[in-house]
Amino acid sequence: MMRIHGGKVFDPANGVDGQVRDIFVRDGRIVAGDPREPADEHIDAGGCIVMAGGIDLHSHIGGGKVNLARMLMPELQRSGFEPMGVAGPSIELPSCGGCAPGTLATGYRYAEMGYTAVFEPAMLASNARHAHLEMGDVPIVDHGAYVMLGNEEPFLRMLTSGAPPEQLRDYVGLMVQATKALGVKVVNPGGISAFKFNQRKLDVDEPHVHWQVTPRRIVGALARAVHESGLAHPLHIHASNLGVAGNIESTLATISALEGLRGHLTHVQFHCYGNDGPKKFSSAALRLAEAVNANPNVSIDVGQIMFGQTVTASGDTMRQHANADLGSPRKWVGADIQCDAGCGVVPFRYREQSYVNALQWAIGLEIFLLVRDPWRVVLTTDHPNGAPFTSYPHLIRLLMDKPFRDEQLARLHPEVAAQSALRDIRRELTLGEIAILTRAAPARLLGLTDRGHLGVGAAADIAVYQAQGDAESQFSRPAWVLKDGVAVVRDGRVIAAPAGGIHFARTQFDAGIAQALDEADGDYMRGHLRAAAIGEDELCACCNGARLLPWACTAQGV
Amino acid sequence: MSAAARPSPIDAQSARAHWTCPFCALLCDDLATAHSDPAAASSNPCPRSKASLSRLAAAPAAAPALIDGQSAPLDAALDAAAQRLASWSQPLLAGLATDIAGARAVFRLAARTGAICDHMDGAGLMHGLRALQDRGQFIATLAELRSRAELVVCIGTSAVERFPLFFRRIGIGQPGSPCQRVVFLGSVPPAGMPANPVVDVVPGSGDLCADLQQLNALAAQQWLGQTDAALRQLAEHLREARYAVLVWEAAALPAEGALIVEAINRLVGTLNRSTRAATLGLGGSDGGHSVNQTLTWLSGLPLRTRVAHDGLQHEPHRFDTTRLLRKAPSTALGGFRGFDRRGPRRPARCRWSCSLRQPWRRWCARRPACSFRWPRQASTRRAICFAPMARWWCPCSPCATMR
Repeated sequence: MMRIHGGKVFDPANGVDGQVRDIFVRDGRIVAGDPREPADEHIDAGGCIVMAGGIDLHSHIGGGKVNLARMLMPELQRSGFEPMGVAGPSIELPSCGGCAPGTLATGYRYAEMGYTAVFEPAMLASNARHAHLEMGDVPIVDHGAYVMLGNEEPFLRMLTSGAPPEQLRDYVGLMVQATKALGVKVVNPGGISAFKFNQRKLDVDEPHVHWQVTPRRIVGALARAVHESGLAHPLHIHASNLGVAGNIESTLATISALEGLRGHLTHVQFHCYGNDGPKKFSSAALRLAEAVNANPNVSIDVGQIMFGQTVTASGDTMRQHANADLGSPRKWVGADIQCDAGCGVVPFRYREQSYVNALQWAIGLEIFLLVRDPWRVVLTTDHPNGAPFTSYPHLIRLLMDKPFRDEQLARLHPEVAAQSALRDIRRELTLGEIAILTRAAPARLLGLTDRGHLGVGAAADIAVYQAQGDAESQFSRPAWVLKDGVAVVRDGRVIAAPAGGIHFARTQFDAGIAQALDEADGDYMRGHLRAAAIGEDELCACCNGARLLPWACTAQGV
Repeated sequence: MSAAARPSPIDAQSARAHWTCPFCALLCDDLATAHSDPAAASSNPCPRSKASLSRLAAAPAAAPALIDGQSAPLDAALDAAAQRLASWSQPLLAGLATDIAGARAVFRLAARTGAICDHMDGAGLMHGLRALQDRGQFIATLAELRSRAELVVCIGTSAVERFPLFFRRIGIGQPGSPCQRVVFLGSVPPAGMPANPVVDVVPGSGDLCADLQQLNALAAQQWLGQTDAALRQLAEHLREARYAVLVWEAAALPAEGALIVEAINRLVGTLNRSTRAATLGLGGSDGGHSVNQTLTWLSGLPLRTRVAHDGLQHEPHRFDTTRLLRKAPSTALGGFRGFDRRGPRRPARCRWSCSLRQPWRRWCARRPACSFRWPRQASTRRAICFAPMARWWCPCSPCATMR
């Protein structure tokens, strides 16, 4: 048995907010220890903060587009004319860092921040095998993925032909099962497909030029199918019109398209723009926060931007093509993929002196601070789209430290610095609230009942941070990180790199749907579904023999 | 949701043997596999697949272990390989005709030895990669071509020499195909093209680069002096097509083919401002794409990277196998072959041939459908790798002459 002794514990799921508690670990699980029982291992957490391991529910860590980003940007992996090396003696295998790190570095750096689970939000059904192979090479942290639906021809054909809800439910169940996904994401509903037919814009109530369905109908149908499939994570929604001034209207329309069903709006910072003011670009954070506060069926993650070089990788081909001319450096990759989806990779440099970028930065923080219920907000930068995930400690400090936030704001474009509503927001998040945003809320939103908390029976994914210095330095360098009870990080450096586990959902559906789809697809999608089905044995092999972490879903009546 | 213990019926379905042909990058999944069955073999429409399967059937079950051309026990050969590898000042792992499991093992070996990795078709792969790194690209996949492409332009290739079923895969001449026109620019149409769609030939000037420059200018409607009438018409067709796909082939490009790929990518970028277009690059067979993708995600950098603890160094031009062996005699070469036994680069009489220490050794020792017993799983799990053989070769004189 291991005893973590004397730390201040922040475990909001169990109502613990900074009380000094001992945590006992046996066989990779948290147990109700007896202080009189001698511990085999002892971690002195005196003067430390103890939290469950962090969970990132939206981070692009695997799948084809991240790899395209790596191939596109080799120049970021140099330091002048020299290669960038690994600092000091290390157990790490060589892997690049930066905004598009190798999978190995991804696992190492996440673990070094105290994170123990990361979820890839945009797995193409036709590329699921690749995504699992790639994520399987992310060491230490558990992982999982959401399958992208809502732009593939089989679904659009069914929706156009008026397929009944139970057929759509079976279809979603099949796709989740076949691709070993944990949830379902929709990206620019219908828009990726519409771009293939040369449609350049698709508002929520505008019909797809070929299939004649609207994003509203797609979102409504998918949200219902996800709900009726019994998936814990609500439909994960990348709404229409990403990055467009005035897109708050699309975002609010998308919320109304849910018709009261649960939905998770992702990287809302990019969907929260008004078109007021002399530059026709303004913050709509207050309107969004009011909508989230008023609709308990809605949860969000923010997609905060940070200044500097990054690369944006998205399934939203329509919007990435439109933004490609703003990229820096000026090169980009796009793809139309298998009548299924698409992808666009655009390098981007966010600049403090750009009015738009400075406002984006402020909008993200405003959303964090204006939404009242922390259980429905998750801390993300939409890695790498807003910023690399390694900027989380800095972001946490911005949220917890008003003077620091003001100091940063003062450095930005003068009009933003002078007028942003952020100046007047006094709220500073507490450590307990940070524990919700980074652990407890994502675990709850994903239905991971034994993660994100430190109660008896939970997995022993634990981060121990020194309570010294500012929040940024605290969260940058944990004293200890345990993964399933095994120490993987000591004093901010990786000391062990086991394979992470894979979370996926086991759905129930009428198996006849597979044959029906194969027949409907005919020669045009030859072998599409058949080839996409990934067995659990194969999943295990993809993930280097990782633990399979299945979650059962009970289909609900239509 | 709750923690679950029961696998679903679809897993059982997926466990059924569906064979995907690995011998070219089209990865057809509807071909006959039973090379021992003459009836099944004769129904296989792909000559490349048939030939590769026959070679595989005739090959011994296991790659023999050799040291300096002499048969040796596997363990001794492994020791010899490891010893020599450790003594090389700059190891180069080339060939790499393997799958993802193999590439994962190769990466660990390279990391341990500070090796450079290059694929047997590295030169072709780099044409596309260098163009991608320079300006980016917009690509489509086979199902998109099949469902959407009204116009297919094959540039500098007839496609079928190395990808025999290409036009079948994209549905040319089949009912329901949207394709109205196939154009061969700087290449000759293969025999047996169907009567419908229309097949055009644009012979060009013989200089693909120059022709593409002209086509780019015409597509952008820039004023030019005298232009080739056939190119003018092609530019018009490209602008009018609702979805056009420009097909190129890595192996068919000349030296500095990246310039040609860059011109093709630029053309697609121009077209996408008003209509829809994409490219499709044919290449990456013999595990080329698999290895490139795997090394890229593991390390963050693609093939032709030196992987070492003092840093990763990516040199798409300098780390070319042929160039390294010519310019740096101290470089030593280790090669891997997996999928096939064809091709001129395979040494006929290698002095030693073996596989390497763990995990490579474990990987290649179990073939053709190998089973691992994962330490944390009770059941035997079928691994994804199915490479029929792995071969390791050295810079001895017979090998060198074969290269």
